[in-house]
Amino acid sequence: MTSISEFLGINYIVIAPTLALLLTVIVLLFCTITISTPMYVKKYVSFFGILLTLFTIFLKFGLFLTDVVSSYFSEKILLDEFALVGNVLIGLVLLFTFNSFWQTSEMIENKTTEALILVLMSASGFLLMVDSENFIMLFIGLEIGSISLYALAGLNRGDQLSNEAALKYFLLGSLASCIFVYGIALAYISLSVTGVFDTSIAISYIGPENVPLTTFVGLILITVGLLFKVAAAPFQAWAPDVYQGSPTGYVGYMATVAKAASFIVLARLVAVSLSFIIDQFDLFFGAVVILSVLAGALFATNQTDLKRLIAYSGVIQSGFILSGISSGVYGVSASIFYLITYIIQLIGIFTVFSIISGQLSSDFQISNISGLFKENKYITITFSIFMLGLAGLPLTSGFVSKFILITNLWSYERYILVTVLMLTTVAGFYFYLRPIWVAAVEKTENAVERIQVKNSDKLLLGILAALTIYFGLLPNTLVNITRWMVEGYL
Amino acid sequence: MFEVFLFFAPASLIILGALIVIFAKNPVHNAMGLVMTLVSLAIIYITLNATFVAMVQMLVYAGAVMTLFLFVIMMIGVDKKEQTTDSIKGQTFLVSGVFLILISLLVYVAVSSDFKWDLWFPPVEYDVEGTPQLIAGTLFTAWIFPFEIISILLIVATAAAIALAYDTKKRNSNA
Repeated sequence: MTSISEFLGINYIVIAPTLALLLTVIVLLFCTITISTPMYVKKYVSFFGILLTLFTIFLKFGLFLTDVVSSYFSEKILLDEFALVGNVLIGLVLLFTFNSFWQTSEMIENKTTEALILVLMSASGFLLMVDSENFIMLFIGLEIGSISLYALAGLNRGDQLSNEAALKYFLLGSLASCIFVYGIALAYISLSVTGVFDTSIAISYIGPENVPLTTFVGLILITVGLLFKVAAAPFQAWAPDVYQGSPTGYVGYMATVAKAASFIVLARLVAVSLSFIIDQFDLFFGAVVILSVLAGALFATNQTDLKRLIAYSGVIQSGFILSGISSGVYGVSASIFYLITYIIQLIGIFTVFSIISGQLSSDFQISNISGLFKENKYITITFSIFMLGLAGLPLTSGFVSKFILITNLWSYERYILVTVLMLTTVAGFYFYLRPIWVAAVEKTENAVERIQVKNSDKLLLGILAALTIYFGLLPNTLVNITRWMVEGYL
Repeated sequence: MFEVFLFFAPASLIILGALIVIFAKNPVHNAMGLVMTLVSLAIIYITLNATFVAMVQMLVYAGAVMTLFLFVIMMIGVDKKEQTTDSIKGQTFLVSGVFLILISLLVYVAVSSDFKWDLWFPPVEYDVEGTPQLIAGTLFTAWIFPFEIISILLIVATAAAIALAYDTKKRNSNA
């Protein structure tokens, strides 16, 4: 018995976060279909499930200390630095967005359990995705996560925009999945491997200069499938509509968890699989970066809907993160730093939106926050901190992340990229500062009235804003963590 | 001789089924023609020693996908009047153009290879016996974890379908 499980590499600790989430979902389902459970029980069950997940992620660190980088389940699941950081990131996203998605799920009567199942299972899918060593495993994780997100976007059945968002997300997402699978197939027929490390070994075996065109096309298609999930231009068309239409309480979760998982996987793909032929991907990545920042900046300037504005700003940020991923090992670590700080700001911004406009609403016009500062000082100040962080003002984490990224690009002599990114940052100040101007400075007749904010929301916003400032003043800890991630690939 | 018969019987059935799909007036007959094509294709897979592919073809295409087709046909209704006008302008012209291009491509390939192409595959030296065993061998050892994880995907898809199809307002008005 032992020999078989050893032979297959079965290890339950390495998939413990997924198992913990699955257990939570089963308990939730059981509560719903057998006895009529009061709402607070569901709340505590799901919150406890998330805490359990974080604990099991902690256990994985213990496993990593003894086993170092190793693979399990016959080379399907990988335990390395990227997987650990990705796990922690997704776990923290679940914890930080719990307030928003719980309140939203509570509002959707009769569907609370389904909504919670979708949220928790999508997290388990993305956890498997960052853990996966095999492209097919990666695809299964991506599909589990994405299918839940498609449904979450359309949960508010009464809202036309929500239905539109779900349908658009589903159709375009399925297309991206097709492209991804086709990429795996092409890489497989030319290299006969589907593993992340196997691909790298196969490429080094046949020599980087003899790599067939099929492999290139396959790997580019795999990358495109992932780039779609992070809404990098020219694959960004779904993002504004989905952000605008989905229930506001879910958007923070949807946007951050998909980005976190996809960027971690992209980083590993670039650092491991493509490491021998990365110079031949320079043009592709460079074009995507420049297109992303230009298209994002161009469309973001004339948006009147704040959720659309954040979506286009997400396109720009994806471009920034991607620029680091494609430029050296330290670039990857700078990108992960950028990703973590961006996720913190994004969660904060969507928490603010859902407090102001209600959890289930879809539209969020810029006029909704005019004169917000008059009665709601705390919300406005935290909102401004997040927006300034996105813009990259000094003293916030946004500045440090942009600084590390651009100095790294400079040392790689990518002057065109540096110029474009700097110009976009300057242009970005216009549309990042405009909401703050409308909220705090501009005189208005009908200012937003006093909004009751729950203490838990206040605490959450305080923590996120404090983190944004903290990483802006003392980024050493996080920089060291991201450096540790890529140490093995120097 | 028997092998030739084994090829030509299903092959002619495939063409017959395809013709039914195109020319039958009743949508249910169209669907049945498609079933005929797919099942005959499965027979050809069996003669090529690909039993697993044949089984998947029967289960997935002739079984599941065709059931979906029939569901849609039943929901729309079979007694709808036939559409006589083109829904897209110049539809006939476009389709015949594409058809002509395909035919000329085939003719070009046939002519340029001096009619020397061989339809019959060379006989295989080795004999793979029973692909289902081989596939099960890998599926339940090396690929057991992804195989099990698919169940989460199914749970998620079911939960998503229920959450989206279940309309709260309608239920309240009925109660």
